Amino acid sequence: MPSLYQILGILSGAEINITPAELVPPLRRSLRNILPHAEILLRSGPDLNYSIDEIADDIRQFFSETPLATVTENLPRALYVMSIPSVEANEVLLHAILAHEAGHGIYDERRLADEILPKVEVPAEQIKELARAIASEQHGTGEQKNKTISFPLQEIAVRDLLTQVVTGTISSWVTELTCDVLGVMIFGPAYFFAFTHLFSTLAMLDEASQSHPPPRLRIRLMCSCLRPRFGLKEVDSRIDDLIGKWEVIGGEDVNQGQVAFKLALNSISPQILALVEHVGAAAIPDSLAYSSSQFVDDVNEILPLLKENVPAAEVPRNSCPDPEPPEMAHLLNVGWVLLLARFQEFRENLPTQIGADALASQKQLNKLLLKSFELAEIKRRWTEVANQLKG
Amino acid sequence: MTKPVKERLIITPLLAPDKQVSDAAASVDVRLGQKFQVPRRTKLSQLNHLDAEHERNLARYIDETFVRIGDWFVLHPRQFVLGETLEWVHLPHDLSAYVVGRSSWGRDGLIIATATGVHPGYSGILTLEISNIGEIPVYLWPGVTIAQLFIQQVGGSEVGDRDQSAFQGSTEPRSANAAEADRRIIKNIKDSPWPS
Repeated sequence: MPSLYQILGILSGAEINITPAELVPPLRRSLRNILPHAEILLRSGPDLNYSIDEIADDIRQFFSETPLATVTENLPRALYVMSIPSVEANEVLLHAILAHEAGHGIYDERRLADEILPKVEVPAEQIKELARAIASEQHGTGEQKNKTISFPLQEIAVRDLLTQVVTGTISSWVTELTCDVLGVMIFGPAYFFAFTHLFSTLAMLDEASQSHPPPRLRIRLMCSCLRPRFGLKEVDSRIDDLIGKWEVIGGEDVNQGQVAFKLALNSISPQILALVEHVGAAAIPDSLAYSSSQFVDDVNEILPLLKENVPAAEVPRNSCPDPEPPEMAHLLNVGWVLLLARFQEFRENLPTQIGADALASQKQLNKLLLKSFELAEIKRRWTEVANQLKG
Repeated sequence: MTKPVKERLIITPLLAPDKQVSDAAASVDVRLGQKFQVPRRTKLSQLNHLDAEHERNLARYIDETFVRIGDWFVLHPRQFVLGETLEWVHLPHDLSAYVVGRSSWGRDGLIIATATGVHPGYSGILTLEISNIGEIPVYLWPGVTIAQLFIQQVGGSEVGDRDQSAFQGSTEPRSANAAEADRRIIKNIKDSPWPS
């Protein structure tokens, strides 16, 4: 019953009517390029959060001893429910965060944890000292001493608990960091811009939880991925400057007060960050990763259309005689460049009643991108089916 | 040399360019898009373009529906919906266009578009006002060619001139207030004092 409740929970609270339908087919295509056996369900919910859950296993398990077990044979190997915050449903550029969520699927399926976690040193000595100090403090003195359990046992219990918290935190943080690298590999700078836009108000930069590392650490890692991989200056000097500013912020020390998080932070050394970057980057083949040359071409070829308020449904490419429908990653990256570096030009090209208002202009950009997703996907699918029928 | 985007005629995407644009025809065939606005039965008693609440009333009166290519929408006799062209149409300053329903649909009792003029400098999808005046339901399949666009040259407007209508930049079918600009004058014209 609990798993059925979990499955039904996908629908409960979901606001299907405001989940942008245009987003689903290109997202499904992007994900299936990387995880060929996966399917997705996209929902929007009231939480200001993006998430991903795999439910095929739960469904199989639930029906395993019932007459309906055979029905589950038709399920895809993995069925991911991706959730976007309903309040941001139409903020298309923010949905580049979904690359990180897809990263969770890749992280699990490719067992990337096995390549990283054994190399992370758990600070056993520091945990031992800390446990001793805590136990000693709790043990107290005088009369109190006789009423509590004996000292060594208490110390072991505290050490065990601390070890669990610290190792659990390290494991979750490594997962999140690797998924950030995967996000950059799949959607390029667009993922980084979406991340910094959504998560990193200055007050939160050093805030961590047991499940998520401090954003400053994540920014440091992502900047280190972006700089060598993308010709940022070639695209736009303002984009290059912006990343430069984030590099400075990410490079500063993390100001972490909580002891367990401090220990986890010490374990994630620069060497471990480099390993995370390496393993994450290697998990996405070059043919599927968003590349620097694509970024430059996209800004040269797609941006002129969007800047003139025309959706990029088919784009003449230098490399191809016929215009091609751009993919999701291409549109998201151009959208971010337009918003961050060329927004004024975009506004000037809009009808006066929209262009005069910054928020209305941003809304128009989002609508234009959604339209581009919709039309590009129709074009691609139409061509695929036409070719299949010919063949 | 390629013209700047602003000066280009763009109709995108053309799913089957050879069929949609032919030398023998004076028009471009356009397809039915995936979004529909369906009037709802509500307690709203009338639509009044002079009413200050008109736009709010419109929002209460309309349901938005997304029908993916491969699915269909059934239009019942005497039912009216707003649809859209699948193609985005971008006209430069020296071209205008007319949208006309394809006769094969008209013969089934379907009226496709009534407000048919598209001004120079327009950029957006075209909203189609679709009615079934026949006797039996008609299936509307997004992706079918539903109308044709006749494009003609105009003089007098300059590069950079843009259509400033409320529909400019539309990404989905849209209604609008036809009396917005004149509402105050029309409402006061009867009771305003005559000059003495």
